[in-house]
This record gives sequence, C-alpha cells and structure tokens, in this order.
Amino acid sequence: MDVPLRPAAAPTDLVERCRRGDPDAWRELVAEYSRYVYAIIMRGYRLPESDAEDVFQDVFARVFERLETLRDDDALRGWIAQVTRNMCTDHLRRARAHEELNETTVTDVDDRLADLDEALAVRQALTRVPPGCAEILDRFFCRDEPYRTISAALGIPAGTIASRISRCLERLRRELEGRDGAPGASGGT
Amino acid sequence: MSMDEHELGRLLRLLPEAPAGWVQVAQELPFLSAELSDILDRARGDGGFREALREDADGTLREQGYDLSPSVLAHLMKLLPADAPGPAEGQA
Repeated sequence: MDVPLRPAAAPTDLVERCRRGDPDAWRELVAEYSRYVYAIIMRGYRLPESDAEDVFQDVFARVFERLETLRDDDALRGWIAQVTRNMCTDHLRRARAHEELNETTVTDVDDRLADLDEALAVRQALTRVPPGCAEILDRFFCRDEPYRTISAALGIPAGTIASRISRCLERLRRELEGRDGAPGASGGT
Repeated sequence: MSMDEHELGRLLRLLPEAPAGWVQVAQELPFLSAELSDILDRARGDGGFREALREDADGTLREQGYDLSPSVLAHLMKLLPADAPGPAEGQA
C-alpha cells in the first residue's frame, strides 16, 4: 500500500527533511501525496493512462527540484496540487494544440479537484483513527475488498464486518468534525 | 463538518492507489539523476551500448556496476533515444 496508515509527519518537518536530501523523507512525501497527484491527473483532468505516467513523474520531479521555493511549508498540499494542475494543463495544451481549453472544461476540473481535496482530507484523517479502523476502512473502500477477504485477512467474523465498518466510519466522521478547517465544515448540520 | 456514511465512503473511494511502479520511480528518481544522465548520454553516443540495453538492460547495466530497480529500469528504457535504431529494435 502506498500511503502508510500511521500519522503523517507535519508538512513543515517533512519538507525540511526533504530539503536536506533525506531519501526517507522524500519517499514518505511521495507516498503521502501519490494518490492525490494520481487522482488529479486521472480523475481531475482525465488524462489517458499512457500519458498519465509521464505527467505523474514530471510532477514529482518538479516538486523535488522546486522544494526550495516553497515559502510556506504548511501549504505543501496546495502547492503540489498547483504543480499538478500546471503540468496537466501544459500537457493538454501540447496534446490539443489546435483546441482551446474552454471555460466549461476549466470549471469541470475545478469541481472535480474540490472533491479530491475533500477526499485527501478524509484519507489523511484515516491516519488519526485507531489502526484497526483505518485498516478495515482502507480494505473495504479503498482496496475494494469483499467482506470474505477482509474477514480472512483480519481474522474477524464476516458477519461483523458491516457493523465494524459502520462504527469505524462514525469514528472517522468524529475525527473530521473535530478538526478546524476540515472540508465541508460549513456545510454540515 | 457532518458527512454521512455514504459520503465518507464515496470520498474514501475517490483516491485510488497510484500504480506501485510509478510511486517507486518517483521515490527513487531524484537520487538517481546523475546515474541516469550518464547512462542516457552514453546511449545517445554509443550505438553498441544502446543496442545492448535494448537486448538486456538489466544485465548490461549490472555489468557496468549499476543496480536499478525494475520500475526505474522500465522508466529509463522509455527515455532511450528512439531515433537511432539498433538491430534489436522492432523485435517486440
């Protein structure tokens, strides 16, 4: 699995270690943001898989090269998103040199990226719930494993999986509610 | 924030895992840039080396003292110059 389901290092610490050339820190940064970058490329901009890998590698290469220029380390997520957007847009412009990127396209992308920002916040909140909960949610929702597989892997009765998932979603929801600035904070009950 | 279970599940599903090989390349590439540049420079100027890479990249590079992961190797092969075909090209 790419993203470790343990508390992630604070962005400032991670960025500082990357700047010092720490390979483990860079590995961690890529693991932390690989899903996000991949989703922006594939779901936000809907690039074909054959082009997506090049853009994915270009994004992380650019992030590595330009890490020195990041002024606010807490803005890492937004900066990575912007780098990815720029790379995707450049790619589309080159691929569709004769087509304009029209307003509709840009608005659609904005909507999809806002959704992905929420998804990343939820994903990161998974690292703050008990490990057993994070694992069962990851297996069911992210890896799309059926109850039987989860039951065998975790050694718990298949008949209890649904209720565990429900309880764990509730833990996750409470975790998200407890965070200031969590996505959707203004739209809740 | 109040999300129901359905919405949370939907958002969890929205971030699929990136292909493992892509992630590995992204993690390793910055620390291999000098080696990869050397290999590519040589491949551009040396047709025999380029051909050997196309036939057996892993073996050829190991002989030269490089030890690259399969994912990085695959990435490297995509960067090989295509404008100077060797005899092995076109076999696959």
